[in-house]
Amino acid sequence: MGKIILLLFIAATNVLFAQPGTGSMRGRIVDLQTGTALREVQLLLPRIRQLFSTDSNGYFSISGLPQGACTVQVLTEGEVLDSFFVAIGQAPVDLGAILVHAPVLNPAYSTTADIPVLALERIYTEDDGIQSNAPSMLLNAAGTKDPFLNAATFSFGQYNFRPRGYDRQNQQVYLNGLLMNDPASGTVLWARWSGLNDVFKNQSITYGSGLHQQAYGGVNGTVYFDAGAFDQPVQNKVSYALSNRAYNNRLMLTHSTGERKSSWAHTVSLSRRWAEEGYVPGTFLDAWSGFASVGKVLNERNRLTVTLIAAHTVRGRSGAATEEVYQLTGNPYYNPNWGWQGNEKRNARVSRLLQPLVILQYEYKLAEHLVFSTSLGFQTGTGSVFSLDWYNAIDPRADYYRNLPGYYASNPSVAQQLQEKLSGNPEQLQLNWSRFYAVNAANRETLQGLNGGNDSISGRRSLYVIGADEEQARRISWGSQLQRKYSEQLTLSGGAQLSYQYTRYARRLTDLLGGDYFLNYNMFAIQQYPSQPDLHQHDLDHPDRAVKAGERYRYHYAAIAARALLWGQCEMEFRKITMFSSLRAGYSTYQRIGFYRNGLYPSSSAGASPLQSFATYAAKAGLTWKLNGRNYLILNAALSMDEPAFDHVFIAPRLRNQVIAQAQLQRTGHMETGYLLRAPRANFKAVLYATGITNTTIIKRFYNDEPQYQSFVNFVMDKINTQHTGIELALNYDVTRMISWNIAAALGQAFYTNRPSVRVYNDNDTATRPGTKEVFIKNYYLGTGRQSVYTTGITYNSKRFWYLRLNANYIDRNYVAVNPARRSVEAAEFIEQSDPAFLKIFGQEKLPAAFTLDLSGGKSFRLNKINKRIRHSTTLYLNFGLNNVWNKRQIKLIGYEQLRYDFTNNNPEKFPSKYIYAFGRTFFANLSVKF
Amino acid sequence: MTASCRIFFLAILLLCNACVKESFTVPGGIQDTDPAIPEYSTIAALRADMGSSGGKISRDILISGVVIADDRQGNLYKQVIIDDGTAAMPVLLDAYNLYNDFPVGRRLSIRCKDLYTRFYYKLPQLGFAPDDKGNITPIPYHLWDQYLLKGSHGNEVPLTTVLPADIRKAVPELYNRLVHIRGVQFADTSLPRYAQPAELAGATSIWLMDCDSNAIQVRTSGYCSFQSFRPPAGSGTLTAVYTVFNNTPQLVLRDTADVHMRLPRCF
Repeated sequence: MGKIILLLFIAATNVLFAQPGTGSMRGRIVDLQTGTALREVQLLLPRIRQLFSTDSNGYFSISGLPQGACTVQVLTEGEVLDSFFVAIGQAPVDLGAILVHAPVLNPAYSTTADIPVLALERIYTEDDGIQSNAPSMLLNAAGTKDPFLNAATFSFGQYNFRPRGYDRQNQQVYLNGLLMNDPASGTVLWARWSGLNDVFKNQSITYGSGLHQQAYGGVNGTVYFDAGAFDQPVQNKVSYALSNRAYNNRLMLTHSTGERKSSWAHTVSLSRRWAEEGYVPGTFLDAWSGFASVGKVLNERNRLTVTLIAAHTVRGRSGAATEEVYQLTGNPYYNPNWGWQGNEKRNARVSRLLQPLVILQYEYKLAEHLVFSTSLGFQTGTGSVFSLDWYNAIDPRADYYRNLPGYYASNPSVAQQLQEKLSGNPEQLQLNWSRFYAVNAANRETLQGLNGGNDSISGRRSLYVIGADEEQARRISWGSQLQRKYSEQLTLSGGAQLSYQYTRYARRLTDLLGGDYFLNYNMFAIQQYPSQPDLHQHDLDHPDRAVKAGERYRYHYAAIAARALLWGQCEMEFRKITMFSSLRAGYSTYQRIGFYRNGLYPSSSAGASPLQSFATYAAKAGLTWKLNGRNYLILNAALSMDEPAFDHVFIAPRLRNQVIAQAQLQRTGHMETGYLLRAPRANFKAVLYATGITNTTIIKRFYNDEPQYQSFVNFVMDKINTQHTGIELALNYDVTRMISWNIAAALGQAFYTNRPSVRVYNDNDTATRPGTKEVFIKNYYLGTGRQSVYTTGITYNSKRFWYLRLNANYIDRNYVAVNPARRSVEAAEFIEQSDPAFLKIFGQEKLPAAFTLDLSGGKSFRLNKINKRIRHSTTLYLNFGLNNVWNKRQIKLIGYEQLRYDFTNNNPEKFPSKYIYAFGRTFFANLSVKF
Repeated sequence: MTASCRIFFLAILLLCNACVKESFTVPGGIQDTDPAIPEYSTIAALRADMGSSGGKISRDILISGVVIADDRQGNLYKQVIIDDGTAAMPVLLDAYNLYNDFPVGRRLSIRCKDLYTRFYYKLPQLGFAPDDKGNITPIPYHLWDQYLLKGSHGNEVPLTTVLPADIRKAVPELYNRLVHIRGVQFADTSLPRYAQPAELAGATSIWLMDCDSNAIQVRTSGYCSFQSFRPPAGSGTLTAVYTVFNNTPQLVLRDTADVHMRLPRCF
C-alpha cells in the first residue's frame, strides 16, 4: 500500500515539474460530399480539455498547444464526425482542408441520440423490485465512433443488453471532474440529470479497461462528462418530441453563449418530459430538469465554472408479474401497481426524485503542457418510492398469488371458475382503491395508553396506507486531476477524489387513505411474539405511537459513506506502440446510525455502529500495437480489489447495526484483446474479453411467507465467483458515399463459477443463529440480460440532408436470474436426479430469442436559406424513430425467479418466475430548431 | 420581441401548461345502505334445505344476516358468521383478516346458488366447491362479488342469553349463534393462557362451568391474538359463538372483551 502511494506521489511530482514548449495548428473543415465549408463545427482537444469552433468560413486556428501528439475530435451537436492525430511541434501546423464525411446539416448526426436514451429510460422505469442493472454505458454511447457501442446503443439497448454482463458499479462516471458513483453503493443514479440531453453531449468514453486520460475508470470503462458553460456549443435550441414510450412529450430549451468577449460564458437548459399515461398502463411521468452553468475566464491560465443541475422526476412505475397474470389479463404490459380511483387510474408505486447538484470547477493551466483542474461538489435532496402498507389486512396486492387460479391447482374446478372470472374481468387484477378507503373508514377504534403513556385516540384506524421509502442524501465531493505531457513519448496524469455522503433513510407516511391514524407496530413481530408487546415496537423510545400523515415510522437510520481515491497513470507513445499503466488506491468507510430503538433488537438498533473500513487498490496496463496507419492490435489487463456496497455489509440496515462476518473485498481480474481497423471506408472492431470476479457478497431482502419465516428475510450470499467472457464484433462500411452498412454482434457468457454459501437471517427471529448452506449454482448463467445479440443495418445519407436507417436485430440467450435457495439440497430433498421434477427445480429457463426491425430517419432544413427574412443561421431538424416495427409484443425483456421457494412440497410452481415484456412498436418523433 | 424570444416564450408556455394529474377524488366514506333485493330467504330455511349432509345449492336462494363474529382477533379462521334472527351460518371465505370487509355488525347478503353447504363434524357451514377430500372450500377472493353483497355497518348483533345447563348438550338451533352466559367461571384457576402456542397445538379447550358444575368447553386457536392471555380467575359473564364438534358443544370466543369475570368465584 505504501509503495503504491509513493509511486503515485512520484508520478504527480513528475507531472508538476516538467515544462516542454508549445505550438499551434490551423485548418478548415469542409463537407466531404458538397465541398462547402462548415461553420460552427466544434473541435475538441481532450488532452487540454478545450473546445474550439470554426468561423463562418469553416476556418480554425488554435495556438498555445503542448507539443507532441494531439487528438482532435470534430463535432457537431456533440456528435463526433471525425477524429485525427496531429503532431504539434515548434513550427505552426497547417492542416489545410479537412474533409468530414458527415455533413453538418445531416440530421442523422444531430438528434438521433435521443432514441436510445428513450429506450433506456424504460428499463430504469420498469424494474420494480429488481436491482436495476441497466446498461448505463449505452446511454452515453451516442457520439462515439466506436461501431460496437453505437450498435449497442441504437439496437441492443432497448432489449436489456448489459455489455459483458457487468454490474453497474463496474463503470465510473465523472461529471465536471467529480466522480458521480455513489460512495455507498458504487452505482450512478442517472435520473439526477436525466432530460438534459442538450448539455450532456460533450463526453468521452472508454469502454472496457482501456486508458482514459482523466480518470482511472472501472472494468466496464469510464464515462466522462464535461458539462460546464465552456464545454457547450454556442446555440439557442428548442426541441419538441412526441413519443409513446415512457413519456409522450418532451420539450427542451437550451441557450448557450460559449465564451464571450467579456470572458464570460453561460448556458441555461430546461426540459420537461411528461406523459399522463406511458406505454405501460397506469404509468406516468412528469420530469422537469434544469441546468445552469456560468463560467469566467480569469486570465490566460485560470478559469472558473459553476454548474447547477436539478432534475425533479415523478414517475408512476410498473412492475414485473408472473406469466399466469399476463395470460389472465391477455396483456403483456399488465401493471399490478395501479387501480381505478373514481374515474382515474391511480398508481401506488410512485417514485419522486429531486437531488440538485452544484459543482464549482477551477481549471488552471499551469503551463502550456500542464493542466490542473479541481472541482468541489455538493448535492442534497430527497428520493422517495411510494408503496402500499397494510396492517392486519387482506393482502391488497392486485396480483397476490393466493388469489390466482394457480394457487388452487389442487382443486381444478375452483381454478377453472377463477380463470374464467378473471379472464373476463381483467380489471379485477388491479388495485381496489375504493375498498381501501371503505375499510379504513369503517374501522373505528378507540385505543388507550398510546405514545408510551396515557394518551388515547379515537377514530378511523387506517389498515391500508401509502408510505414512502425515503432517502435524504447530502454529499460533498472533491476531485482534482493533473495531466502532463512529460516528453514526446511520455504522458503522466493523476488525480484524487474524495466524497462524503450522509444519507438519512426512513419510511414516511404520506396518505392515510381516508383514515385518521396508523399505528407504528411491527405486524410480523406481533404474529411471532404475541405476548411480548415490547417486541412489537418499531421504536421503543416512542412506543404505541399513532402515526399521522407526514410522519416517519417503521425505520429510521443514517448511512454514512466516505471514500477516498488516489490514482496515477503513465502513457507512453512510440511510433508503433502505445502503452499505459495505471494504479489506483482507495479507502472507504461505512457507518450506520440508528434513530429507532427497535423492539426486536433494542441493544443493536439505535446509535452508531462500529466503523467498517476497506482499503482498496487496483492496477491496469495496456498496449496498442499500430501495425500500420489503419490496423491496430490492443491488449489490456486489469486487477482490482473493491469494497462491497453498504447494503451488502449491513445485514438489515433498516433494523440494526449487525454486519456480515468478515466483509471482504471483491476481486476482479480482467483481460481484453482486440483488433481495430480504421480504413477510409471501413471501421471494424473485434474484441475478446475475459473477466473473473470473485469474493462478491450480495444481500437480497424480501418477504418470505413460507411457514417457517412469515417475515422479511435477509438472504446473504457471500464468496460468489463469476466469470464474464465473450467476443464483440462490429463493422461500419461505407458501401457508397451515401450508403453505409453496419453489422455488430456480442456473444458473451456471464455465469457463476463456484458454489457460494448462503445464510438466511429472519428479521423477526432474534434467537436463531442462521446456519450456512451451500448452493449449487456453479455454471448457471447470471440474469444479466441478452448474452447473444446481433444486428445489421443499412443507412442512406442523402445529399439533400435527409437519411434513413433500417436495422434488423436478433437477440438471444436471455437467462432468468436464478434463486440460489432453489439450488440447494433441501430444495429437492427425496427427489431422484433422474426424476423430471428434479430438472424442473434445478433447470434454468432461457427466454425465447427474438427478431426485430427498427427504422429511423430524419431531415434538416436551413431556414435562413429558405426564407431570406431570417437573418440568423437557423436550422430545423426533423427526426423519427420506429422501434420494433413488426410490433412483437411477446419478447420477454427481463425474467427472474422469486427468492421464495416452497420447501414443504418442493414445488417451484408455487412462486413462479416473474417477467417484464419489451415494448411493442414504439415511435419517437422530434422537431428541433437551432438558431 | 425577436423571433427567437418568441419561440422561447411559446415553448415555456407549453412547458408550464402541460399537465400530469397527481391528485385524486377521495371516495365516499362508510357504506350505510343495504343492497336493494326484494326478497330474502332465511338462514333457517337454508339449514333446513341442507338435510343431513348438505351439498350444492342449486336454487336461487338469497340470505341476509348480520355478521356476529369475525376474525379480528384470529380465533376464527377464514370465516365470518352471520345471523338473520332465524339461525346463524359460518361463511367460508378465502382470505385472512376478513373483518376488514365484514366486521361484526355489518349486514352481509349472499347469493347461495352454486355454493355448497356441509356439516363439519355436525356444524353447518356455507362455502365453495369441495376439494379432492370432499371438504367444501372457502370462496376464493376474486369470486366474492359473484356471491356476496356488502351492506350497512353498525347493525344490532343478535344475541341469545342461555344458561350453561341448557347448552352443555348439543342444541342444534343454537349452532353458530352468539350466546351470552351468566354466572360462569373457568374451571381451572391456574390456567396460564387461553390456548397453547400454535407450535404445540392448533387449538386448546378449557372448561367453563357454572356454580352447579354444568360445564362446557371453550375452544381457542393457538394463532389468535389472545392465545397467551391469562383467563380471569373470577366469575361473571361470557359471550361466545356456540358451536359443536361431533356431539360436543364448544364455545368460541371472539375477543377477551367478551369475557367479564370480576366477581368472586362460587367455588
